[in-house]
Amino acid sequence: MLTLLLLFGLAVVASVLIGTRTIGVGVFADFLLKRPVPDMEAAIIDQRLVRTLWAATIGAALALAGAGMQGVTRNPLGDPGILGVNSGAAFAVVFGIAFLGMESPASFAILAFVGAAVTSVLVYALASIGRDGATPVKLALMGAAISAGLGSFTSAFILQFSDALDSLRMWQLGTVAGASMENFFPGIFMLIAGALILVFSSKTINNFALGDDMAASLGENVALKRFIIFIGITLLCGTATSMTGPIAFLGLMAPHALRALVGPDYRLIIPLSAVFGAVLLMVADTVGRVIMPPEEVQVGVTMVLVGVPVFLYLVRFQKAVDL
Amino acid sequence: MKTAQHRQLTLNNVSLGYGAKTIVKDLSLEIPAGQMTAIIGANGCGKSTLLRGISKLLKPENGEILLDGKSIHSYPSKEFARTVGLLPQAPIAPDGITVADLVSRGRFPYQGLFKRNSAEDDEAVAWALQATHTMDLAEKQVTELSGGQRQRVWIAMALAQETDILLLDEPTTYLDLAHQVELLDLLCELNEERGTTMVMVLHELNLAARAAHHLVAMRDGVIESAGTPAEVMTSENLRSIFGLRASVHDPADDGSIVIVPDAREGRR
Repeated sequence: MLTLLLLFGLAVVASVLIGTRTIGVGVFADFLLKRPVPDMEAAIIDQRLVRTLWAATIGAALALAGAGMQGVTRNPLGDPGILGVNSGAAFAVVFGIAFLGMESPASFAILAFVGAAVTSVLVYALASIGRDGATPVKLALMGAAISAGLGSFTSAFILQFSDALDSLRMWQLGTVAGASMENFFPGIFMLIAGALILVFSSKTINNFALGDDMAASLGENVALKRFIIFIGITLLCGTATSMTGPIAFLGLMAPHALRALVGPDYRLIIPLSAVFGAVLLMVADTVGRVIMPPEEVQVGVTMVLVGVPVFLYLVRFQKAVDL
Repeated sequence: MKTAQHRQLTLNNVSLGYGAKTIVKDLSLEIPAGQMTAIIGANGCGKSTLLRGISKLLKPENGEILLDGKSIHSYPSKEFARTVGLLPQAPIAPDGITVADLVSRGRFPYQGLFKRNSAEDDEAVAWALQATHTMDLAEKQVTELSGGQRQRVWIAMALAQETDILLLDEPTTYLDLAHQVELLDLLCELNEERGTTMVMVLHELNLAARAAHHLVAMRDGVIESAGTPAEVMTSENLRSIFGLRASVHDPADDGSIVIVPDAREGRR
């Protein structure tokens, strides 16, 4: 727990200091203590602080969504992508570029959110049909089917409208480089709402882990609670995707890693995943600024570069823990 | 140990099913309070469906299920969970969970959103572990246990829920004969000491006759016969309900009956 907070602090400092232009620790200390700092440095620190805030927030949101997803579906491969969020967002963005003439990043964000939300609701509704409601298996199958369908439409549009490809190429690699305080605000409220839903549901998710029948016999209204948790997940990953573009793997690995460290209690896994996800995305973003100078590598790419070794280490050397 | 209240569970003309398929048909039943009831019947006769109905997992298509005269669906879900507990056929133990942690999850219906375990919760968990002889396993991981131990741990979790009525769906499946007997004896003990009303679905007829005060034999979604083991387990009933040719014996002449399937043709 303490280690995690320490890592969080280190990641914040590293994310502010390290980049194309490195900031000295002394300068940053001066900045924090409101002592005079050269304008150039001050501007860079300002920008990096905003960017760090974004990375931490988005990382936390994606990890929370992943933890909720794995818990409520009892699926170790659970990841917000199962609900078709990423493919829905990409489809909506391409659709907007091709047919609605949209071009600005702000309009992409709205499109992406609408696409993500509509798709996850659609997946959930289709999976709910029939006996027992939206069971984990039906959700996974529906999500896979809808994702595949939307993916083929997306590809078809891209082939038809080649200028859509350029805009989409940039969007499809998640990045926090365009972070700004103005764009932070509408999203953050939705993220907080989603995070609150999940934190308040952690005991319920513990009950779901024992099977739907057991959860019901402990007094849970299974269908209703599952729906509420899915709203939380959709708010988190839909908003996160709309703010940065798709960032894969984080939602899958952060809760897994935490489960290996703290055991199967979601009252711990949920809040700690958020911290760990924030750390991972800040580190991934920082790494992306320096591995290929003078170019920056998008965090969507470095997330996997950073995440896979960490994940393999945890799976290999910790006692690997399933759900 | 909190003793169980005697609660009256009554089914009036209940039909249960999935979609268009009705499995339990127009069934009426009175569960004897404070006793052990075993539901028996061939595969697919509706035993488990009936149990799902009683535990509120499945809403009746017709008829009503009453707890102390009030429809079970009118109880708030946590209050119901403090009164009627269910051990499903295939509960899932999360990987890495310890016995103590799992058993304490049975306290959920008594807890608020964030409140830590109260002294009452700790007491109930300790008693449940003691009663099921799993206290020395408390710190072990559930996935490391043998089948018999694991089933006792699930019973402990159901006990920690401190319900007046406990429903068990085939609690002895996957256990060898010795462990089946041990588990059912444990349930009988709990019924005697605490007064918990138990309703269980059982396959093994000899064990059902040995453990239960009251037998309910089902065929095709209706009750064929109900009563004491000696009343229900007759060779005519066994033939009509299970299609089983068997003789029924009472070796000690005290009502503790034994069912012996007839020998194969040509093996006499």
